[in-house]
Amino acid sequence: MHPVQGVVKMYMREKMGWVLLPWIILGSSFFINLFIAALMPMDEHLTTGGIASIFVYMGVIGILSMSQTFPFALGLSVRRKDFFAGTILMAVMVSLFTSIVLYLLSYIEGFGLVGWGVQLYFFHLPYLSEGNVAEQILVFFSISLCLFVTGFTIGCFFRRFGKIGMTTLAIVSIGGGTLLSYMATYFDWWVTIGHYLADLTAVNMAYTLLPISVVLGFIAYLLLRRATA
Amino acid sequence: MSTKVVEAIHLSKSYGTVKAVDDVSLTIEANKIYGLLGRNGAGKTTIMHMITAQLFKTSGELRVFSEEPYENNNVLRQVCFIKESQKYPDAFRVNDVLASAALFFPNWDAGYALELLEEFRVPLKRRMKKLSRGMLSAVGIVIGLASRAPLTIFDEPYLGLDAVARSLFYDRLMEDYALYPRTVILSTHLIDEVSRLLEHIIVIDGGKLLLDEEADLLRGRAYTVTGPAAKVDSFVSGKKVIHEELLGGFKSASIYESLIASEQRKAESLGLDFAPVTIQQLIVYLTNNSKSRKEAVV
Amino acid sequence: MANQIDDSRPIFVQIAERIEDDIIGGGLPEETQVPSTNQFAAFYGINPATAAKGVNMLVDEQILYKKRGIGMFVAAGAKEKLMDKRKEQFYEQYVVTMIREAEKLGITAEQLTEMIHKRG
Repeated sequence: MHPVQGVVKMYMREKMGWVLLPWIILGSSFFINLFIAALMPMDEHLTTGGIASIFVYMGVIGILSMSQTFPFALGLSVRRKDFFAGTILMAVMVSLFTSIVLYLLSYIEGFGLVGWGVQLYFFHLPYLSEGNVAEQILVFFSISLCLFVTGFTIGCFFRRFGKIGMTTLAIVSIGGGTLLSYMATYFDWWVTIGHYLADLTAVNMAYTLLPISVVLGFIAYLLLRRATA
Repeated sequence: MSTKVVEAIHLSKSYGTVKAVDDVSLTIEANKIYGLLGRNGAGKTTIMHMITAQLFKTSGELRVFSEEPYENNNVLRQVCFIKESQKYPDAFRVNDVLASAALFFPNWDAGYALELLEEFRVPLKRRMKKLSRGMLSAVGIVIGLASRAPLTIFDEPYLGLDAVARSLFYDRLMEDYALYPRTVILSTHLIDEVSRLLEHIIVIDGGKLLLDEEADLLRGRAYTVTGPAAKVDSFVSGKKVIHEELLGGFKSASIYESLIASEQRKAESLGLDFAPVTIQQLIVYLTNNSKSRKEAVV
Repeated sequence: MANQIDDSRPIFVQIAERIEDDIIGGGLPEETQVPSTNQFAAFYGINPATAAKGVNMLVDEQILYKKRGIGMFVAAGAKEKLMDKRKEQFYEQYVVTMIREAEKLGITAEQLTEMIHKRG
């Protein structure tokens, strides 16, 4: 068996963490909202952002795969390159699964059991649920993958540079962010940025997130190459 | 195929100004059992991590199965490194760990792994996080043995294991080694327990190679004479003394020198007691933080 | 099991001595097969290579010989050869030491002989 395949199979042994748990979290958020929506007067819509929990969770798995699975894989003489490829492959598969299921739920919510009979809009959201099937799936997929890769890159950075590196990175990014926002104010960029964001469709956002994921993934790979157990 | 499994040439590893491994050159030959011994922090673990490409060398050359080990599957597929500090995914149970090991070690024997697990009394379905320290060590030992990797490295594999389990480990190691000869590196403090299993002994001290010798040649490599201080002093003058103890007018001195019958007779005729030094004593004396004693060896 | 081996002398020498003892004591008659290296290793809990070294030493001394594909056997005349060797060692190890100790204590040669006869 190729080691990349081995890495995926190893992750598959953690179905609970990778597949079940995110849906349990999302499901419980959904049912709480369903309960609230049922208590509300019938003419009011309830639209929530509870769906974000599953994406945030992908970021958490990204970090965990580095903090928990990487040292174990290294202990089983797995090459860093194979670990990286297997991890990304697993994330792509899980993101694809998540996005298809989310699309199906969104479809049921929007056109089947409209608002689950209580006017709850949990999966079928304005802005996100626009465009054709492929585009809607792509939107969910790109958000899921991008958050995973972000978590994974943070995990790699931590493995590579430790606590001191992590703190330095946090300080630098806060400082850099502040500086950028001052610059934006000074050069009057805010209006342009505002327009850009306002005009950005969900699909265009997806097209932006994918190259960002690739760049982050590349950075993660470079960090991983020099990471130690 | 070359019989050299590991070849280190002027291998060094520094952390800032601290030299963890300092200019170590050594060769590990195929199908022998090696003891990598030395005090805590001597650099043994760092060397093993470099051999398995888990740490990066600062300078020097390192070849494992005649190739550079880093990111090299030709090498890594043949290596199994069991270390005391090994981490496992939180959600994993013992059976998940074994199933994962099966994915990466080409010679993995699943039946043997289960057999060993039962002998060490580790429950297959228990979460790794819930295992006692001894059971955790036992899982490592099971992986190391069942992997049948051409180069198997055990770094302090038995923290928390009782004497019965340790002796089970030695028995199974020797049995399986006889059936499936492979290169084994065993790093441990329990020198007395393992020394008879070892064919070759490497001692690292302060990051440097102190001793690299066939184990049997170290037995009787040093001896201790005991008696009245003045007589002992006159006997040892001009000899390489590696250890001395004084009790009143009584003195014992250990000498790093192969036993010669004429010397023994001379000592006995002076009325001195004469006893050979075991491997464990020898290594304790040699690594006991005295520069002059180390110089005596080199 | 393993505690019969003493860690302050080369183990291969001790293995060779054990085999010699068995030959002298009659446990291993001439032309019988000697246990394999792995059997020695398992029995004493030692490295097989070390056990092999002990066995090979006796092969070099023509106490044992190898039958291809079968194993090691005790050579003809091995017992006598070993007895001669041991007698020499006995003189070196015991007689010389005894005489030296006797001299220290002022025991004469006659008294010494008398002691030996009394014991016998």
